[in-house]
Amino acid sequence: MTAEHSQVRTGGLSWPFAGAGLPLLYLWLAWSWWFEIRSQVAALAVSAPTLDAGMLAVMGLGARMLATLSEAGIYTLWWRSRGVRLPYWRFQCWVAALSATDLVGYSLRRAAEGAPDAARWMIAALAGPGALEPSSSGVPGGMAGLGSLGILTSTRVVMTAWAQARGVGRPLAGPLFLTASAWLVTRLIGWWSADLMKGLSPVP
Amino acid sequence: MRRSLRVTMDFAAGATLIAVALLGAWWASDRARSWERPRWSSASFELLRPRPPIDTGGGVRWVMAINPRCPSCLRSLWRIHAAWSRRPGREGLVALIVDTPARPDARSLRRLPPIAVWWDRENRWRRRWGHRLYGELLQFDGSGQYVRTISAGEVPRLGGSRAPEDSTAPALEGRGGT
Repeated sequence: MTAEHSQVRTGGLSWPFAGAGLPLLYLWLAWSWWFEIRSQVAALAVSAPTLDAGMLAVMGLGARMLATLSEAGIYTLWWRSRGVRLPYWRFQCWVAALSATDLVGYSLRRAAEGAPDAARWMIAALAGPGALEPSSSGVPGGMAGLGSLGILTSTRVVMTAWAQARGVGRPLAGPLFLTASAWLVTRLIGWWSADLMKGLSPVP
Repeated sequence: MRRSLRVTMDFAAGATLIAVALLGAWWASDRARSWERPRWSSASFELLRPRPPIDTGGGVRWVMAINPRCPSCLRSLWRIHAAWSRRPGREGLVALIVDTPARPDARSLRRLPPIAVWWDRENRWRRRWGHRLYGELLQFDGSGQYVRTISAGEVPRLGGSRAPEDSTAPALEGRGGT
């Protein structure tokens, strides 16, 4: 062990679930995400019947898993570069578990369609202003980027930061700034890219 | 090792922020640009194949922007063409070939359904109107005035006439016609 390695500190992040709960969590997440992606592809298939919803859902699930592994990896590398060790697999498990808030958000935004105004506003507070936009209309780029910003997404960001703070043994402020900045950057990229891609054309 | 990792992560974070700032500047510039309101004029485009004589509908045109090199656009056009004959009013369905600098040849035209085909020689659709998604349908009234834009997925939900304000395309604020 080098002198540099001996300086690396570790924190106290526990697994979100113990024992048999972990495989069950991953199985539930995989099934839920597969179902969610399949529903979204099936909705698109109304305009493109040649799409194979099942195959695309499997590919989407694979991409989702890669995204989760990458997200956890980037945070782990970031903290490692700052001299502290974030336990990768435990943190990755938290990131995966917290993605359930996104699943709830999708379901709520779908449920908002056709709901009374008061219910839609409540859902918008939870799942973001995307709940106020009917899915049949063109989605503005801003809504594509920030339409999920509600209590659920904020909770996910804060909990992701909390898991890092626990893992690296530092106060919440630094990890929260890092996580919120990363979230904002990805959302801005989504917003601006969607606008640039569609111009004045409506998004299907 | 930690030092080199820190330099690498700092560099990656800096490069990401610079790239996002550049993307934001590009987006702001694109949003600030003034686009022309679409207008259908026979002089603006080149007719490659006339419409079939069965088309009626008082001169109303639904113009689908397609690129012959885009197989999914062609599939979408064939699908819409198949459904079009079941629509009331029999408004004209027109294919507008865009993003194609060279005049489309007969082989390209044979891959299209039997509808009127026009070529956007100057690429007005993209350069002046600011539209970018193939497969969208632009509706023009009998005098060539723009009515609305819909995506191909909305065609099955098309009923009778709708007001221009129902368009799903972003509004063109106070910009005159061509």
